[in-house]
Amino acid sequence: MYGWMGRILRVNLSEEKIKYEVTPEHLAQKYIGGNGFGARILWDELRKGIDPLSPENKLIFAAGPLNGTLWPSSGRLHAAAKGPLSNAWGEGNCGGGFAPYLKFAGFDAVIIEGTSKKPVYLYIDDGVAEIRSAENLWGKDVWETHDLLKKEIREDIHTAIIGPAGENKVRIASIMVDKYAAIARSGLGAVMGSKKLKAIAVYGTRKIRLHNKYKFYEKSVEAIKKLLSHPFSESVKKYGTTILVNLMNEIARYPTRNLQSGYFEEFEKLSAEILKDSYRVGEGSCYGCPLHCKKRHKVLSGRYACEGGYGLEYETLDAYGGRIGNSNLEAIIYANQLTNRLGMDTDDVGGVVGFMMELYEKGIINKEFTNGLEFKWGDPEILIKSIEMIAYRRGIGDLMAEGTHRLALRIGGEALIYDMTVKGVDIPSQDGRAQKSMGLSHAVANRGADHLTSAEFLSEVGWPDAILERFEERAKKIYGRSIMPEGADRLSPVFKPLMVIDSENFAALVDSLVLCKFVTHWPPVFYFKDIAEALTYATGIRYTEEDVRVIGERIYLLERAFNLREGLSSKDDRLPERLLREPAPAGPCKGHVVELDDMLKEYYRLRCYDDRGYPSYEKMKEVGLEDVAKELGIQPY
Amino acid sequence: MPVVKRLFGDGSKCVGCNICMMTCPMVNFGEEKLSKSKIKIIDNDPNGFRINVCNNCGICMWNCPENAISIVNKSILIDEALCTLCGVCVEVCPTKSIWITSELPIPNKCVTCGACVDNCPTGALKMTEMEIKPIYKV
Repeated sequence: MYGWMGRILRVNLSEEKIKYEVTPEHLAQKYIGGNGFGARILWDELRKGIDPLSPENKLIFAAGPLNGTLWPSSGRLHAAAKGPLSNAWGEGNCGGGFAPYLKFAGFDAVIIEGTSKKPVYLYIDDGVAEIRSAENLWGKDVWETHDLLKKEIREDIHTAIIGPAGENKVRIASIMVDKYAAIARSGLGAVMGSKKLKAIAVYGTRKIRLHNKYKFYEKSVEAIKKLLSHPFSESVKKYGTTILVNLMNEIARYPTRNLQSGYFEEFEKLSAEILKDSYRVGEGSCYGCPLHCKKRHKVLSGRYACEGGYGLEYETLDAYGGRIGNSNLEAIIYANQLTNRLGMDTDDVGGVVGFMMELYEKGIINKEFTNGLEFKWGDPEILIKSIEMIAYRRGIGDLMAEGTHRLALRIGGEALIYDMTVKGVDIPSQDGRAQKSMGLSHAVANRGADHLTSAEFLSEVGWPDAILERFEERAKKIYGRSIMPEGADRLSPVFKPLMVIDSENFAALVDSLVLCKFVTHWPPVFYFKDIAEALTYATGIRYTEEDVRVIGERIYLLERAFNLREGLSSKDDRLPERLLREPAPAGPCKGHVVELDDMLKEYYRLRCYDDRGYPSYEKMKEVGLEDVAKELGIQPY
Repeated sequence: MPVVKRLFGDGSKCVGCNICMMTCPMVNFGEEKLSKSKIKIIDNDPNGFRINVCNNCGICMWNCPENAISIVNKSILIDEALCTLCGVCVEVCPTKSIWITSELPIPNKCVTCGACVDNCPTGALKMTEMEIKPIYKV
């Protein structure tokens, strides 16, 4: 096997057993790696309807064939399990250097099963794994644990760690990789915490065998040059994702005050320029990435003085900024550091705090309910207190730790109107009313409201060339007319289902490799063809453009099937009523709502779903998932 | 005085992406194995990254007891036929960028091929040509 390492590590924590399995060749060929491995293994091995926080759940960390190679931005790690937030498919991926080193240690994936009786951590050293006691690490925050592990094992290890939030099974907990990168969404930190697995540390020195290494090297260098010469790369290199704060306010796609609006009046206080000039102290990058979007920020003095660390992203600048009406940048950097140390998802924390603030404003909850805290818009102290209360499940934090949706159900009544979640997961920092395709993505995404499952950024600020190149032919074939001008218009729902489906399939493929969406979706530098070529050189298996398209679709539909098996259906592909009824109050999208029903109908038609949201047998057969279709009880026509 | 190619790394521009460390063993040995890389990025510095790479100062050449190190096409190279792996070059190297490893028949030293400079996305690596003076360490 070229590209893959050929071994999967299976760790049963209940029995303290470690098994070294051979990576099945058909699994590697059909599902590539990353989310493909995760989806297939979870589908095969999980029983329907288990509790995500029970020992029966399995947590899978997987790398892909391109991880650890010179192909640009190939340092990402993918994790999958049944998600505690959505009670269905849960996944996340992150940067850092864990995935390459997992491969250097000789493994394509790690499957964690069962639950340990005592806190443990797993150390993988060059092909050999060992379960070690983590009694002295339990209760420590992510950064302390990382430093202690480095001291205990060796200086150049890479780690995946949960903080106190994960230990306390907070449903919005994340897994932190290499201190700063987060597998944030879906609450996978809680799954790791339920298994009493504090950390995984990895080190390796093996080499990755590539089929045609010289061609692959040439192709990779070409790819790096192509990426760096893209006009958009310059701003990514300079500002990272923080530049989006300004851009998104221009098009009013910056969720503000629990999605009341898409425009934050004080956005200039959070702009990328200020962040760069006043707080940036360094730059960093994930393994093998020429774009280096990770910037290091630090607050030197004042109430919010803190180390900060790498990677304050747009999502956090919204979740802790506009989403809760806060314009104190120093407080955001501080809160981001605190959240990272405690190990939580900033999107969901911002979501639940924003939700509480709106309820407080509307008079649905009072001081008695909030333990005397005044949840007023824009108060950074409330945010910081909430973060600590959620992570340690203190007072009202115990309820907030269950996520916005469960909290809304608990309060009941009017509170449900302000619940901005899809499938139990908070809507991230995109307002669907300002970009219709994003609204559709949030509604149908497999892991709950999510912008990266489809990552349809082509219509965002308009990449007309890319849209023409990718969709013109198909639009003519399906609709008999040109994709332009509606395709590039973010406010028009026309053609968006087609573009979202293509993006979803492509994103599923990218997550299986595992690459960063910065090089594939935003800016759109690589497409199926480039991936197919790179994969062919790396693995020696002849992948054509059509093959990789089918693989993307196969993985996406398998994730969908996992959700269907768990009892989800078309009724879960919904957005909060606010986005469907309340017109956007400001910006170029003023007066717009998400025309979800029209788009969803077309989306179902193109995806070959029936009214219940089940894909047709013919579609499943086409992508090679007949066995899955049979288990779901889908009948051929 | 001989003129040689000299390679300099600017740590303040380095972002730690490891592309140079992957390029080097690929170009020189045809495999992506980080431990064989002649250039190393050190990231445990709290103030950023440090680049450890041979700058072709020539001290190893002047001090080699076997005269196994010489200038070929403006690069300072070790002759496999003459090298006895005595380790003097490793000892005298002021930047610790030459070392003996079981993976290779001669000490691992930069050959100034320039591939890392070409692939560096941030321009943290620079190659120039300069005169070097003999320095002897006893």
